[in-house]
Amino acid sequence: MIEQIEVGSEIARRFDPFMPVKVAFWFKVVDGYDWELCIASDRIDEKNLDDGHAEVLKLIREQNTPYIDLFRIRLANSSDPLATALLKEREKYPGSRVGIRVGEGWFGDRAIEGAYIYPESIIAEKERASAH
Amino acid sequence: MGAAYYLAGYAIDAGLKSCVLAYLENKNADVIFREKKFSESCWTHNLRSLVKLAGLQPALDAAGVRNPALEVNWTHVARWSETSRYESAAEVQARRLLDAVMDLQNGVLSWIKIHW
Repeated sequence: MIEQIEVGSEIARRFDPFMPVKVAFWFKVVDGYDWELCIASDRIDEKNLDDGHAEVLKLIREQNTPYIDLFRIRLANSSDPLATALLKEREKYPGSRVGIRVGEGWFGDRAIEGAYIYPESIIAEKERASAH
Repeated sequence: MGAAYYLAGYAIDAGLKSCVLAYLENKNADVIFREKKFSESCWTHNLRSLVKLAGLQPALDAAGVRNPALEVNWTHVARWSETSRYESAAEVQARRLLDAVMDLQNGVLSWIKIHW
């Protein structure tokens, strides 16, 4: 999972200039097969979803890693019920510099086995680090 | 619309299982003896696993580079699971999946048919 978290943060950071990321998280639905990375943005809608997919697939290819592929990525509008529910979880810890893990439960419109929610600062911090 | 979404995904599920059989017939039958749980692994609706079981992962990776539209169509297919039968798909979501599956030029089913 550590590798997936690393890869996911890199993809979310690189995706942000294309569509500003509101929240990004790994999650696994109950009875699901794999952990999936979800990137949610206010800008994503049905009209530009394919543009978003094309961009994120390009970023995945650039990562050249076994820890993510097209089957394990989801893009969603920030109003997606799961994204909204997990954003609320993150907002319980404002300013946290580490990710938030949540266990099994019902979030938004689905039951999940667990999730890892990236901290809000992940994008800005990585950008600062790469600038130095 | 929920039923259309559900059945469109099953077309891909069935198509990939045909590809697994084609893979076995194409001088790969010994995999059953090399990998003890190969047959058991095929009892799945996990599309990602079925792509691997059919030996199609390298072909899919290469096709994605050559044809980004096909790869984007795959992302819609990849969101499907057999549990979608218990969910209500929005019309726009169902139509997009049908397009992703059935598009003659860049559709996932057309690509799968090449391999069975």
